[in-house]
Amino acid sequence: MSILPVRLDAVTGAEPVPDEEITGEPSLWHRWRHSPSAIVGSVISAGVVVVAVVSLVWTPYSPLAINMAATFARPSAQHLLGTDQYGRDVLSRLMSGTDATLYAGVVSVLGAGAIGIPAGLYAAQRGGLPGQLVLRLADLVYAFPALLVAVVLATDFGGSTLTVMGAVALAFVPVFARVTRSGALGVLSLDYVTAARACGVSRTRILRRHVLPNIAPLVITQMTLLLSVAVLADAALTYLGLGAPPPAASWGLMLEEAQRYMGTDPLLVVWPAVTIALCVLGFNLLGDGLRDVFDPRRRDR
Amino acid sequence: MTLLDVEDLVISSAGARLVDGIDLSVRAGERVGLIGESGSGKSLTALGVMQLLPRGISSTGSIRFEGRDLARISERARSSLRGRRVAMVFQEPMSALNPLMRVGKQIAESLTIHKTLSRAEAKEEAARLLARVEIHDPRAVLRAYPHELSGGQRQRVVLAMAIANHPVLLLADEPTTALDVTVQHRVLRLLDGLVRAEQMALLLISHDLAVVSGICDRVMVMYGGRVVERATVGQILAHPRHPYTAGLVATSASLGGAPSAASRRRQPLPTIPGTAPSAAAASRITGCPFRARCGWASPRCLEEPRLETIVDGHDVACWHPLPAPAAPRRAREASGLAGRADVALGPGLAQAAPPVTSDGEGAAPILECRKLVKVYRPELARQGGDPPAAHIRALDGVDLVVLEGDVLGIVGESGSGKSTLARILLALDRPTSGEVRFRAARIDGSPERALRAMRREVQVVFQDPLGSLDPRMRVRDIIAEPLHALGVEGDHRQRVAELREAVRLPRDTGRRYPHQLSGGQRQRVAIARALAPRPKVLVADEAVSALDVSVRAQILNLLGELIGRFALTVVFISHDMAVVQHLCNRVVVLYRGKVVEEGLVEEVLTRPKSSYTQGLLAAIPRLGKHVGDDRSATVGAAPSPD
Repeated sequence: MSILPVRLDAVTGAEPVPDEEITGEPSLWHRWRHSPSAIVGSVISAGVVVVAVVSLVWTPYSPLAINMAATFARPSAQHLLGTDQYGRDVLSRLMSGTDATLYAGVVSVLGAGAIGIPAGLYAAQRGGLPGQLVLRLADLVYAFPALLVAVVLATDFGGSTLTVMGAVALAFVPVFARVTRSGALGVLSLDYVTAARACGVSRTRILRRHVLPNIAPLVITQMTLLLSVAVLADAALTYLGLGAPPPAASWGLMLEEAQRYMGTDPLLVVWPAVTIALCVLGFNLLGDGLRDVFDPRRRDR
Repeated sequence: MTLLDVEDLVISSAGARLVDGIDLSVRAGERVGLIGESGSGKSLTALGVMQLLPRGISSTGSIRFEGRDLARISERARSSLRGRRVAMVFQEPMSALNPLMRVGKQIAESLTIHKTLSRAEAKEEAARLLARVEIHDPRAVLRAYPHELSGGQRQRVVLAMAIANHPVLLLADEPTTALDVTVQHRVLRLLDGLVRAEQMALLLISHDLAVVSGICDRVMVMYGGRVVERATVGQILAHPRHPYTAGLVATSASLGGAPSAASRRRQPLPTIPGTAPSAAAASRITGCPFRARCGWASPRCLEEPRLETIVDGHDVACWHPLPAPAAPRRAREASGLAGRADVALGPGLAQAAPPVTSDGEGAAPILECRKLVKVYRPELARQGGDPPAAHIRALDGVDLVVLEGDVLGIVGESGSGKSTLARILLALDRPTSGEVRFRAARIDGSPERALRAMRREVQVVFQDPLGSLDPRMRVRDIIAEPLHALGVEGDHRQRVAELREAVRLPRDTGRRYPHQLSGGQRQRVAIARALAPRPKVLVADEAVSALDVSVRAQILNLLGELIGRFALTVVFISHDMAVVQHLCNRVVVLYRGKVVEEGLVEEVLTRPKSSYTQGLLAAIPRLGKHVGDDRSATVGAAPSPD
């Protein structure tokens, strides 16, 4: 550090920025690299997404192609994970199922967010009776078992991916509303919101410009964690026959069918089970990792 | 006899030397002050001495206390010394007390850990200790939980726990910083008396030179993790030798001095340019840590100066120590700091319109309120039906007129209702009763749409510069926000650039985020945002209170200059009489929601009428004034239970 530029600063009266503060706190990237859960979680999640995308254009075999000549085949070079009771390629079905599961999960999480986040913001901003009303409504939905919703929906519309997505999304709405509200309440009590109000910034603009960006990390983390729950719920509901009907390639369905042939070919149960576990683990780790990355203090504690 | 002898204490974290080789000695019964701004390493030094450093931070060096090296003995042996022979008092009394435990039990616990006292004896002793720290109703306080006590009472309880075992050394880290001025005065006087009576040695850590000078014999000045000067209080105040110390003394003296004449109002204060480096940044500086801000810096300063004795008992770590026999004022000039304040304003700006101190005659009222009452209903009362007494009357019939061109100071301690008043004046909160007018139009209870004209003309700056800036917005967007929100016409980018110049932020600040700026720079951003829509009135709520001493003077100079340049009417809310005296022409003193005194600053400061104002003025710590020197601080003070 030379002396000259600093003297210039002194003359202009500007405060020189101390070196350290130029870099500021460690970047998100830096924190990501130092969070094992974030790294492992992102790798698994990325893998899941890649598989889902690839399955759209290519799978080793058609996931629905029946080959009665090669039922219960052991894993081999032709069928890496073997075949099932109809001779369908297990790997192809798992890949295709990834796409379906991910699609159902993402849609239900986003759908729940689309309702829950604005509801939470509204409750935080308004307070009073209208705010309470929204909260109590959320409580009501929260108290209603998602399984029951799925059963009711399935009775009326038949089991389908749509039924699963609807039930799961409905169950997630209050979660989003609560998380958003508590985060927004925190931000709304801060000086910069008061300062914005004093500047004449409108309520909606305050929510959009100040509150949403500041609770985004919280909401994104929550979304990731809920995605893992959605995967599990999708598998469970489909397993119960409330989701996509056969012969769809769905993890829950595969598990249910394989269970019947456990004596003949136990591996058939293992593949979807491992896949579901891995996928849930991946999204969960990613969620935890994101929380570390966005809020380093929390991890230090 | 030397009680504590620290040699070459180095405290480091992840390779950064946050405290870089400190020598420190305290003799029995001696009172030593440790002065420094945030990031100077003063608190770490205290924790290092006690070997209580947080995980991830380690220390080397020898810490001999009563002949034993604290760094080398077992943790068990250290624990038996802590509390018994050395006690600590921290800044935040609330976090030092267990919220779920009654005060009596906590004090008794500190007694029974080291001594074998029966429960009854311990309780008796606890009551005696509370009386010792001048708590009025010890029996009642023994049964209370910490949250039921006021800040001052809590700090007294902490003090009682600290002296419970008659330690020989008391370490106090900013013990009064969180307290109000009058409470601070009383707690400091208590501390002074206790240390004397118990013949304890005291290591007092503070950012406030005036506080330290009022209680200590010797002072050590820290900067960037190093001790830059060490001398007696008298020597430091009369002949500071290190340019940094000289700057601190000059800044403290000019703000805390005798009431200044109106002609000197808003004259630039001497400042130390720049900002103190953070501990981590300082650890990377080789050579003198202060040289970047020093008017005397030379190539020699790239080499680290050692702490060397120049006169008996006066050590300084500087290659260019200031000449010795200079009166404080001369020393200030010699350091080039007083002169630089004018230079810092830049040509042309220094001659900016002199402050208009109309002192009221003929000016029109711009903002006024009548019989303002604000009652807060505690949550509990709403649910459980507490008696109405539980309601807090934050404002209790306040009348206030702000005239155009006024720079009105509103002074009050915590609980005086000054921040509530600010929120109501800004129409951010509604009064329970009474009315607020802006240019004769009622603004209390008006819908937001009707307030747009007023919003454009009345702007605000808050205390905490980081909290008042959205962490996810760039500085240029923050400054432009009121322009968008209020639909101000014209080239916003141009205007932002103008404002950035006006508050003298470096050009590249625009694309930065608040966390990348220093505290002073953040407050400059907040000021620029407030000025964006060309307001007539600026409400500043404790706008300089959260800033370090040397930065505070810079921001005060900036405010003073802007007031003149933009002919601003200002409502300046503060707990700090010295700052109000420097900036304002009129002052209103609030006490428990009521105006107890108002008038021209000179009048109120020299001839305060209300006893509360008298107490407030007497409580201000001033350089070289010993806390025990005068008793007036409590004589007339309305007995605010601290």
